Amino acid sequence: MIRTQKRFTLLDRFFHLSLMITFLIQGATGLGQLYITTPWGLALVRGLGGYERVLATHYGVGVAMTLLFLAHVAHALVRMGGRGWLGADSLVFSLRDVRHFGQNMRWVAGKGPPARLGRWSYWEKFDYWAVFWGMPILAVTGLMLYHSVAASRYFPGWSLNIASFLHRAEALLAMGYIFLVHFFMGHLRPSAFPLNPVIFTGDMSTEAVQEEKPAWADDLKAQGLWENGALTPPAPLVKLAYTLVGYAAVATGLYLLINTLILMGRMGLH
Amino acid sequence: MKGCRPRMGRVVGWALLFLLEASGVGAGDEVANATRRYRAYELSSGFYESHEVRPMGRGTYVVTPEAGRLGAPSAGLYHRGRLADSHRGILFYANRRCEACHPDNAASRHVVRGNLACRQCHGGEPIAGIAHYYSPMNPIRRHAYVCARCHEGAGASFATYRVHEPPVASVKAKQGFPSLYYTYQFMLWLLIAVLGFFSLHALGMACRELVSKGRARS
Ligand code: HEC
Ligand code: HEC
Ligand code: HEC
Repeated sequence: MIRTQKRFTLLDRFFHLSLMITFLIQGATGLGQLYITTPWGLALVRGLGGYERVLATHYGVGVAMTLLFLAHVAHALVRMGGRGWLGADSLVFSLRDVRHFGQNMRWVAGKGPPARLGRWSYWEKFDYWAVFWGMPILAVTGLMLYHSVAASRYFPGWSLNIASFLHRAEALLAMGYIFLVHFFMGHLRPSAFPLNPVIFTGDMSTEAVQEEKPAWADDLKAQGLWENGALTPPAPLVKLAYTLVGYAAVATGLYLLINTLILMGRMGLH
Repeated sequence: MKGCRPRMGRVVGWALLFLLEASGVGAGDEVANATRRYRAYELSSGFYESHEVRPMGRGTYVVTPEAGRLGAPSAGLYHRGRLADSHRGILFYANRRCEACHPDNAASRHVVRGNLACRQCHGGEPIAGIAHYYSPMNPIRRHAYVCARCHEGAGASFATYRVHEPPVASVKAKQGFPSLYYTYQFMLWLLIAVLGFFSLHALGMACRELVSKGRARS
C-alpha cells in the first residue's frame, strides 16, 4: 500500500491515451503515404493494409482526432469556468515558470538548488499547449487536402501547395517533439526512468510529489489534503500492461522517427 | 360514417393541392433566380470572349511560328510558352522522353506519386505552350480541359494549384512562389528553435540528475 495524490482524472487519462493512439496511427499511416516511393514506405503501407486502406484510415482517424480535440477544448473551458484560469493548479503559463526555468538552468550549471516545481512544470505546460498549436494546423490543412476541390472554393488553389507542405512540416515537428523530447522528459530521464506511470494510473505517490513537485506538496499540505491521499494497493498486472503499452509506443515512435530522418535526408518531404 | 370518408378524402386532396400550389410558387422563385444560382456554382474562370474564333486584343497570345514575331525557334528557345507547338524545330524531339529534357517537371507529385504520364495533362502532339491562347493549359480553361478530367468539380481556383511546384527551399520558389518559400523558412526555423531548445534542456536536466543521483548514493 502506498499513499498517492490524484493527478489526472479518468477523463484526462482517456484524452491522453486516445491522443497517444491516434497520434501513432496518424504517424504510421502518414509516413507510409509520404515515403511510399521508397522501399521502407511501401513496406509500411503494405503492412498496414495497402494504400487505399491507409488513406481511409488516415482520413477517419484524423477526423476522430479533431473531434476529440474539440471535445477536450470544451471540457477544459467548462472546467476552467469552475476553477478560474490562473493559480497554482493552472496549466496557464505564468511568470513563475520563467523563474523556474532560470533556476533550473543555474542548477544545470552547478549553481544553486533546482527549481521548486509546482503541480505542472514549465515543460509539462509546453507539452500541453503545443497540442493547441499543432492540432488546428494539422486539422485545417488536413481537411483542405482531404476535400481539395471543395477547399478551392474558399481558398485559392495554390494554397493547397502550402497546405500540403505545412501538413508535412507540422507533422514532422510534432513527431520530432513527441518522440524525442516528450518521451525523454516523461519516461527516460533518470528521475522518471524506466516509465512514469502517472499518466496511465492517474495517481502519483506522495514521495514522488515531495521529490519532484515540492511546491505542489506544500500546497497540498497547506490545504490539508496531504494526509487524505488515497491508499493504493500495488497492481502488478496493471503495471505490466501500461509498461508494455508505454514501451510499445516509445519503440514505434522512435522506429518511425529514425526511418523518417534517414529518408528525409535523401528526399525531403516530397 | 360511410359518406364521411370520401368527403374527408376530398378535404385532404384540396389541402394537398393547396400545399403543392404553394410550393409551386417557391419553384417559380427558383426559376426566376436560376441565373444567379448558376453563377454561384459555375466552375469557370469567368473569362468569356465576345467572339469565339480569335481572342480580342490578345494578339500576343496567338503567336504562330509563321508569324515570325518571336523569331524562328532556332533563334532562341525562350518564349516557347506562347507557341502552338512548343517543340517545333527541336532536334531529336521525336525520339526522346519528356523526362530527358524536363527533369524538374518529372519530379511533380502527380508524376512521382500519382504515376501519371505527362500526356495525361499536356495532351497529344502538338504540345502547346502554357500561355498559348488556345492551349488547354491556358488558365481560362485549364480547370475544365485538364484538371476536371480527374478531379470532379474542379474550378478555376483549383487549377491555380502548382502542379510543378518548385522545391520549397530553392531560389526558384523564392522568386516564383514566395508564400511557399516563406512558409518553409518559418517552419524550418520553428523546428530548429523548438527541437534545439528542448533537446538541450532535456539533456542538461538529465545529466544534472545523473550527477546528483550519483552524489546522493556515494
Ligand atoms: C528534346 C528535348 C525535349 C523533349 C524530349 C521534350 N521537350 Fe518539352 N520543351 C523542350 C524545350 C527546349 C522547350 C522550350 C523551353 C522553354 O520555352 O523554356 C520545351 C517546352 C515545353 C513546354 C512549354 C513550356 C512553356 O513554357 O510553355 C511544355 C508544356 C513541354 N515542353 C512539355 C513536354 C512534354 C509533355 C514532353 C514529353 C511528351 C516534352 N516536353 C518533351 C524540350 C523538350
Ligand atoms: C497533373 C497534370 C500535369 C502533369 C501530369 C504534368 N504536367 Fe506539366 N504542367 C501542368 C500544368 C498545370 C502546368 C502549368 C504551370 C504549373 O502549374 O506549374 C504545367 C507546366 C509544364 C511546363 C512548363 C514550364 C513549367 O515548368 O511550369 C513543362 C515544361 C511541363 N509542364 C512538362 C511536363 C512534363 C515533362 C511532365 C511529365 C514528366 C508533366 N509536365 C506532367 C500540368 C501537368
Ligand atoms: C490523369 C488524372 C489527373 C489529372 C488530369 C489531374 N490530376 Fe491531380 N491528382 C491525380 C491523382 C491520381 C492524385 C493523387 C496523387 C497522390 O496520391 O499523391 C492527384 C492529386 C492532386 C492534388 C492533391 C495533392 C496533394 O498534395 O495532396 C491536387 C491539389 C491536384 N491533384 C491538383 C490538380 C490540378 C490543379 C490539376 C490540373 C492542372 C490536376 N490535379 C490534374 C490525378 C490527376
